[in-house]
Amino acid sequence: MFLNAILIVLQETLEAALMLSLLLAFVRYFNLVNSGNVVLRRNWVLISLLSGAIFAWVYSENLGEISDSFDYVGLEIANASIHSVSCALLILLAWLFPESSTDSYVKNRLRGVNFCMVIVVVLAILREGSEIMQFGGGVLGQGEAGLPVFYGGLIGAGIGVSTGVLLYYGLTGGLSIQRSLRFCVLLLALTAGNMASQAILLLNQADWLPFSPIAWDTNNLLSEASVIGQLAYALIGYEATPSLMQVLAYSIGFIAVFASPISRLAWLGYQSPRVRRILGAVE
Amino acid sequence: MRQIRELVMFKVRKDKQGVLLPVSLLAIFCVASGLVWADTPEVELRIRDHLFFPATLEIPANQKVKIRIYNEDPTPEEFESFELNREKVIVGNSQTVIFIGPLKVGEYPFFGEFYPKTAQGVVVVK
Repeated sequence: MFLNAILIVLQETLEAALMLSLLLAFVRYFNLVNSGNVVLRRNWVLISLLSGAIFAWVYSENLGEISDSFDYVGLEIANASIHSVSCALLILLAWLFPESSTDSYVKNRLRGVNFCMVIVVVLAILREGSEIMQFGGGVLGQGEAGLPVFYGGLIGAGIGVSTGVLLYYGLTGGLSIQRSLRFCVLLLALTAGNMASQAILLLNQADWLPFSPIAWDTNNLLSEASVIGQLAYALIGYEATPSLMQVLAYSIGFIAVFASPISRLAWLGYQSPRVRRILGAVE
Repeated sequence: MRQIRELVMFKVRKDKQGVLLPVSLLAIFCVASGLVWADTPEVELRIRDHLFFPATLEIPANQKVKIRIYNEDPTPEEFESFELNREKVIVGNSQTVIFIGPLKVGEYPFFGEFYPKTAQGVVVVK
């Protein structure tokens, strides 16, 4: 039970932690490039984590009713909605993200970006947290092996959060700021694709969408059950046997982010000489 | 006056036609989907003492199947399968539904993520 608790809590924490790290890397990027003229705030993180936990608890408490609705596929419908909204907000974030502090409507854009970040984090915590609460509540409710599960969960959460911190420093430290932005945009696009693909999978599981054949099988290359496979699943939604419809949804999510001005910024560089000058100073 | 009446009549007639087509399509769709839905075979899976009963589910190949899972334990369980691409939490003392397939002939293991030591099973597609 101890090992199992580590694994389950790790899996769930990992996804939320990676998401938060990615968003914080964007915040850092913006504030660095614009050196304090207009600031992308960070004070929402704690509030999002807390309210996410509260929502997760409410969701977990009502999981039975949610699950019974829509002829016993309510859980899939609810989770598919959460994934769809997350996907849409990540795309919106990419399109709202201002190139520099001199952009028109920059304050409104930043407010929008902050809004997207808050909701995305709250939804991630809600999604993953409710599963941890289900597991923990079930095991602890039985009165058996409470302490090992608690410690296991703590260790799992610790590893998950550390991996998130590692990703944050991987994305921000050591790399030039331009390269760092490229990785961030790439990851954002992959995350949006992942959310879209998960939504499709859930609707498929609920039989709300018709079956589509498996696009490919990369189990021999990288098993989903392996450690790297799990990490890839948490980070970019790796699946060994995705359906054609999932691949299509993933591509649409990916392209929707990739077509945004932010990726032009990351790959084609900066138009404004002022930003270039700051970047030169940073690099 | 006559012109107006003709215009109104024309509109009414047009509206009737406009409604008829979607309604009939909807009716056909409902009947068709009802037939498809009725065709989906259902199998039962029970969770008791963190074990799956039966541990081997036999289902036909190339056909969508509805698995109805009864969790008879007071604790929640998570049905998970990498091979089937399925994952779902089932709260204690409740039932739920998971659709799988159509699948090719083969074996697709599944497990209970919360109690993986004991909760193991396999879907055998024949």
